[in-house]
Amino acid sequence: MGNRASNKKKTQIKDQLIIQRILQYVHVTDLFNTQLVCWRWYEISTSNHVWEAMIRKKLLGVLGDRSRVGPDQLIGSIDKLFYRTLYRQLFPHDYLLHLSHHLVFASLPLFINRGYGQDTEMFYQTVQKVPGMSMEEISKLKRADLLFFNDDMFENNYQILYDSPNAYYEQDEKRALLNVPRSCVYPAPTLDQDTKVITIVQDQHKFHYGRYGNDNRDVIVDSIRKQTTFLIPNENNQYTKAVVVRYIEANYDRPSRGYFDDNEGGIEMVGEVSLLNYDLGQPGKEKKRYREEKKEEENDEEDDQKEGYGFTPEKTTLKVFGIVSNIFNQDPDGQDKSPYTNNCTIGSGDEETDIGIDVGSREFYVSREKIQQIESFCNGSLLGKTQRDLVFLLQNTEYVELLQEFDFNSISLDQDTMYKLGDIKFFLEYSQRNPLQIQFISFNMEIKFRMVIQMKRVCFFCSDICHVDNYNPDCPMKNCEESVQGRESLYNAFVQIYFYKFVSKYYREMENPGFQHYMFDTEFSIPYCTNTNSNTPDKMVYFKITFGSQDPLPDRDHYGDDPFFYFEFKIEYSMVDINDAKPRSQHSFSTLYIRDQDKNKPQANESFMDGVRESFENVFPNFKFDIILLLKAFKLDLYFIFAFQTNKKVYKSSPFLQLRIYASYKSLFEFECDSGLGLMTNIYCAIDEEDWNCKDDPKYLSSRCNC
Amino acid sequence: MSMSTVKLESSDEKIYEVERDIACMSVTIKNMLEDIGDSDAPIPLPNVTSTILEKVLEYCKHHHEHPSPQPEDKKDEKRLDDIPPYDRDFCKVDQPTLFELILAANYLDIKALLDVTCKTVANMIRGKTPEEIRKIFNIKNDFTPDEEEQIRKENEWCEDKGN
Repeated sequence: MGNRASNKKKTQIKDQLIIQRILQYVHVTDLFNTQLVCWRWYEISTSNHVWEAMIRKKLLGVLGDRSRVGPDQLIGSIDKLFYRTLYRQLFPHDYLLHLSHHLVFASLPLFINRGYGQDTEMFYQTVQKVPGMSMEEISKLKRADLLFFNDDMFENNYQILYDSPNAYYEQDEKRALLNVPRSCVYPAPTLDQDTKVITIVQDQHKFHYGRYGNDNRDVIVDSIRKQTTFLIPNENNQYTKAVVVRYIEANYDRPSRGYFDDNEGGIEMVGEVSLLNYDLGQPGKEKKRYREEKKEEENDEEDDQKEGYGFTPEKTTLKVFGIVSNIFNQDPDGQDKSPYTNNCTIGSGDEETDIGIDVGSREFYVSREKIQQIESFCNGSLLGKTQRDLVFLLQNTEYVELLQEFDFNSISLDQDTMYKLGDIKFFLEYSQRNPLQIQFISFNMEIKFRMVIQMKRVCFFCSDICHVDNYNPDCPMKNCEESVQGRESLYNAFVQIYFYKFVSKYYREMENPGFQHYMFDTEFSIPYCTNTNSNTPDKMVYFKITFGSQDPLPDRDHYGDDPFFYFEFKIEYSMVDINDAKPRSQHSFSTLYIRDQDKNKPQANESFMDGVRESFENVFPNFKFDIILLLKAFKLDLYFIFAFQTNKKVYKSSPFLQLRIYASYKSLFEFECDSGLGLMTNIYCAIDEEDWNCKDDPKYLSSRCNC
Repeated sequence: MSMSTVKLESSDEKIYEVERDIACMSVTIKNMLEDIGDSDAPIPLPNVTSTILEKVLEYCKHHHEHPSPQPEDKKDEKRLDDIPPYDRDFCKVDQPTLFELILAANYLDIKALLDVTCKTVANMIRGKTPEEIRKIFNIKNDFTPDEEEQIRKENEWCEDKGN
């Protein structure tokens, strides 16, 4: 009886969030064991939430300035530099957010205990003493500036923000700012030029900030002006207003469900960035446009900034998705145009899991879980663009205790802090000038983040993220030593990759529920060095990889009569001069497998992976990384297994060994030229609109041919 | 009722009068208090039994009186070896109680308690085989042998060179 009662209690932990939270504390090697416990645990422990936490836990550990994970002896100075770089490249928004805490810190106490809170009377008494503040302004402050943490006040605040989004900056500027991750919209504290200030400090780094007295209780959150300010009394009992931080609000909107409403398992994301409107950095060449849609687009902003990116966004069909875009960069019209599908990130409308915001006739949902994740990652110091964020975050963070002890006067700017501030400043300025590039970076960041999660599985980071640079003899993972070189090369390639397109979908047909599809389509570029004696890339290699499959009857035996089961893989490479974008060589490799009882038996040496690898090595001998590792990081083969795991015979016989390879070589122009969607097609079209003759040289179709 | 205390009612209808500051360590209770204003009516906690509520209040009281010297900015680290001695002893309870504490911490939204209890459970998982984990949590294995083998194959990736 006792046992039964005990068992009943044991089974109480079924809540996904709790299991997830527990798993986030588990060591990564134990995490693999948890995947074998049951399906529910498998789903949770393989979810992005857990892996994201794992990755971030590791990455945060080496930053050192606010948190530290793992034994010190495993993290040498070289590793720190490496991870700092890696972290910045992978998570620019979070990195900046992490570092911008030093700035945001200065404004937080006003939200907590030192603000007026619910002491309305005292607030107004103080506000009325502010010289030059009109009754109208005070009236607005009534509704907007008090931080009342209740829904009514929030709705009022939100309504004000929502109804007058253009009141404080022009539309273009607003649009640009909306594209900037919110961690980057906090400039250094500035002082209100319209009012007196007590002190302006300018240190040797030319960094200005306000220094204020010990009494910080006269603080106002000015959501009208998007400022946080405080009031400083003088001996005549007059008040001086100083602006601590200016901030920008963001609008939440109902997120799109993406392309497919009937999302089946396996959908990670659906996003697309087309390079068709990018000039590839060829000086003097007229920019061409080859898609009808682009004629409809207008963008007066042509940016000549090519710094670090090698191209100039002229007009774009960029569609950003992911953590940043879906939470921070919603379209102000309320129309989320992102073809993004990720139930983990965006709100689903379920009040249990989302924060629902209902303002007037509009409803908004934001994933509570995602915000908690971000909040957790930021050690609770996420300062929202909206007061709704503040409401949520302040109710769920432990800042109260922390900030009560925070001493404004102790703000000091050491070299390390200045380095961080400089970065923030650069990012702010750059992102405001080049919002499209920021979108592009966000797009890449999202993909790379997901790849890192997969790379961890394929030993890119070994079992311990510290082993990238150096072999660790204590590493519990097999072959750690041997794989170091490959990981390093792959890392070098990985950080230089720019993605232009990334589509990954798995879905069932509504009419035929058993009919499953999986498609993967990506385009990306990697710099390439043809000279083995040089480390300076002279070529850019553009890849186009597609992988599609279809299974009409996944529950049937493998070798049935239905001929429609197939999967097909194509990888195409094109090498162009890094400066003039002239194609030098093109190559393609494809495989096709069609289910057929008699004809398509596996044959020796017809391995899918071997074929791809051999092809890749022949064409690009100076790439030292294993292309298969990269494909695995796309989760491509994993998807395949998932998609067809119900088909026991296919699964048992290992599809990768059964592929019949069609080592076809065809010109890139011939392939999908008509669609106008292919990156490489567009590259060639963008050069000079010449047609390409389809030479049959299998490996080096180096010459351009006029048709 | 004094304004500095509040009344909490457990699921088995026991009422506890506790200091407001201690009760407000629970975000859930804090929100409820804000909602009801100056009412002295007991706050119902239908998801928490008296046994567990007593434990939770014991935890909150201790941490209210003895604030953790650990910097706040390290609390979110997902480390297993940084459980303070008091918390470690506090979690030395039988497994069902520990699980109920997790559920209560989650319901009451006491992050520190949730963290420490989850860490304790994570420590229980450390080094365990899937079968041992199932026993701990009384979970039924719903994998078929093929599925289990498939997942093991997936995890082989982290052991090979990526081939």
